[in-house]
Amino acid sequence: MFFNPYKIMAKKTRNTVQLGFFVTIAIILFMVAAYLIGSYESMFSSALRISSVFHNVSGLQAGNNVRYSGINVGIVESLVILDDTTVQVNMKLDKKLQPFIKKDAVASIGSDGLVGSMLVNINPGKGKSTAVENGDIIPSYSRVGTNELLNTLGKTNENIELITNDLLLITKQIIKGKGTIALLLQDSQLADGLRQSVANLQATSNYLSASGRQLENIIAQVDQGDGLLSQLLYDTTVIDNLNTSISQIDTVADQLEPFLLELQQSANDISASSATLRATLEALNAGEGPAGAMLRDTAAANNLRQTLENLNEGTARFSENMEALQHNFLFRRYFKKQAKEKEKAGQEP
Amino acid sequence: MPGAPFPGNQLKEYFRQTGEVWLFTVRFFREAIRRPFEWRELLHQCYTIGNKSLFLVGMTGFIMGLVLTLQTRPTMEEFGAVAYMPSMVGISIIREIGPVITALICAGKIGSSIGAELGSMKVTEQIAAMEVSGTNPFKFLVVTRILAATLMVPLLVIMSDTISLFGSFLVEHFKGEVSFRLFFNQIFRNLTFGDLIPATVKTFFFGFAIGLVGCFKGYYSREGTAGVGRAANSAVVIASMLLFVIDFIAVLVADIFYDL
Repeated sequence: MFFNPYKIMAKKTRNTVQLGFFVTIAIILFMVAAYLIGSYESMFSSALRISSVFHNVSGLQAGNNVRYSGINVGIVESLVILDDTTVQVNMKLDKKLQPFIKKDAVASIGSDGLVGSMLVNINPGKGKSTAVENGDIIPSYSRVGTNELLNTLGKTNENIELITNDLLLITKQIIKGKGTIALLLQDSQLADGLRQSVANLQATSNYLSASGRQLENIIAQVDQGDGLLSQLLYDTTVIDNLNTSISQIDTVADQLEPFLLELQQSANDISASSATLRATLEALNAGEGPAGAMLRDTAAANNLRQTLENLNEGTARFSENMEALQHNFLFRRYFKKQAKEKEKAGQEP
Repeated sequence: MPGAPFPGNQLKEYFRQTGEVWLFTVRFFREAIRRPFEWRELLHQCYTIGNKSLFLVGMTGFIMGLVLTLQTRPTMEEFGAVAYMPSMVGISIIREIGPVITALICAGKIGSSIGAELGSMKVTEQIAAMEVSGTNPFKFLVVTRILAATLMVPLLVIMSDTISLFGSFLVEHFKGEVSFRLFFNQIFRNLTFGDLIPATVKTFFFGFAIGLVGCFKGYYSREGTAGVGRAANSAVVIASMLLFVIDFIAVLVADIFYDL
C-alpha cells in the first residue's frame, strides 16, 4: 500500500489533514488540563501571600487547600519550621480576596471530612480590622487534632467501662433488695408516703402559685403608683426628701457627738465612783474598819448612843456653865466688848 | 533462539541482543539528526500510528474509565467516600492507568505492526533493494517509525485519558447524579502538575520503547516467514515488559522531583 502509486498524493493530503486535526485536539486537551490544574494552584492569577504560625500542622503539606469561610481560595505554598515548637505555614491566595480577609482573621488546621486531606481554614475575625496585606502573619488557632480526640475518646471509653461496671454492681444490689433504692422500688408503704409527699408538694405549689398571683397584684399596684413602695420606687421627690432628712440627721449627730463624749466620760466616772462605793459598802457590810464595826456591832452602837446622850447632857451643862460665866464679873467686860465689835462689823458692809 | 540450547548460550545471546539494541539506538539518534529528513514518511507514519490507533485507544480508554468507576464505586460507597470518586478516578487515570494501559495497547497494535512490516520487508529483501536503489532504509523505515511512535503515543494517551474520564463521568452522572462541572472541578482541584507532567513525560519514553523494539525486532528478523511472526510477537512481548520497567523508573524519578 505504501508503494502503491495510484492516488497516493491525494490520499496523503487527506491523511495529513486528519493527523493534524488529531494532533491539534490532543495538544489542546493537554493545554486545557494544564491550565485547569494551574488555575486551581493559583499560578496564573496574581497571588496574595500571607502566613500563619502553628505549633502542630497535623500532616499539612504544600499544595493543600486553603479555605476562607468554607470556600477554596488558595493553596499552602510552603511549610517552614521556625524553631522546635513552631511551624510557619505560607499560603498563596487569590488576590481578589484581599479586601475580604482582615488582619484579625484566624487560621486553623482542619481536614476535608473525617478521612480527607488536611487544609487550612481561615475564619473572619470578630473585630473590625483593616484588610490583610501581602506578607502579613495572621493569628492561628490550634484545634484539637484527630489523634488527641481519639486519645480523649479512649480515656472516656475506659471511664465508661468503669462506670458501667459500678452500675452493674448497683443494679445487682437493687435486684437483691439491698439499699435505699431497692427499698424505694419494692416498699409499697414508702411508695404511699412518697405519693403523699408529692400530693403535699402539689398543694404547696398551688399555694405558692396563689401567693405568686398575689405578689403579681401587689407589683401591679406598685406599678400603678399606689402605696409607699411605689412612691419609694417611682417618686423622685421622696428620695430628695429622704436625702435631706438623712443629711439633717447627720448634722444633728455631729452636734450630739461632744455631748455624747462627755456623757461617756461622766458615765465612766460614775462607774468608777460606783465601783469605789461598792467596794466601800462591801467593806462596810463585811464589818471592816471602825465605821463597819459601828454598823455591825450593836454593843458599840449602844455605847455610841450612850456616849452621844452623855455628850448631849454634857454640852447642855456646858452651856449653863458658859451662861453663868458670862455673868461672872471676871469675864463680863470681855463679852460686852465682843458684842460691840459684832455690832460694828454688821453695820460696816 | 534456536542456536542457544544451553543456558550459557542463552546468556550470551541475551548480551548480544542487548548490545545490538544499544548500537541500534545509537544509530537511530545519529541518523535522526542527520539530513535529509524524511518528513513525508514521518507524517505518514504519524498518521498510521496515531489516527489509525485512535479508535482502539479511545474505545479501550472509555471502557477503562467506565469499568474502573463501576468497580470502585460500591467500595467507596461502603466507606461513605463516594464524593471522592472523581478525584480518585482522575488521579489514577491521569497518573498511572491511562498512560500504562494505552501504551500497552499501542505496544500490541503499533509494536506488532512495525515488527511484522519491517520483518516481512527484511525477509522479502525489500530493505536490501532500498539500499541498492540509494535510499537509506534505516532513515526511511526505522527513524520515521520510532519518531512517529515517540510523538504519537503521548497524544494517544492524552486522548485516552480524556475519553476514559468522560466514561467515568457517565457512570458518576447516572449513578450518583454528579454534574459535569462538579466532576471536572473535583478532578482538577485534586490534580497537580506533579501528577500531570511526569505522567506525560513518561509516555514519550513509552512511545520510543515501542517504536524501538518493534523496529529492532523487524529490522533484524531472520529465517523467513516464521521469523516475521516471531519478530512481531517478541516485539509486543518485549515492548510490554519494557513499558513496566520504564514506568517503574519514571515513578522513581518523579518521586525525586516532586513530593508525591
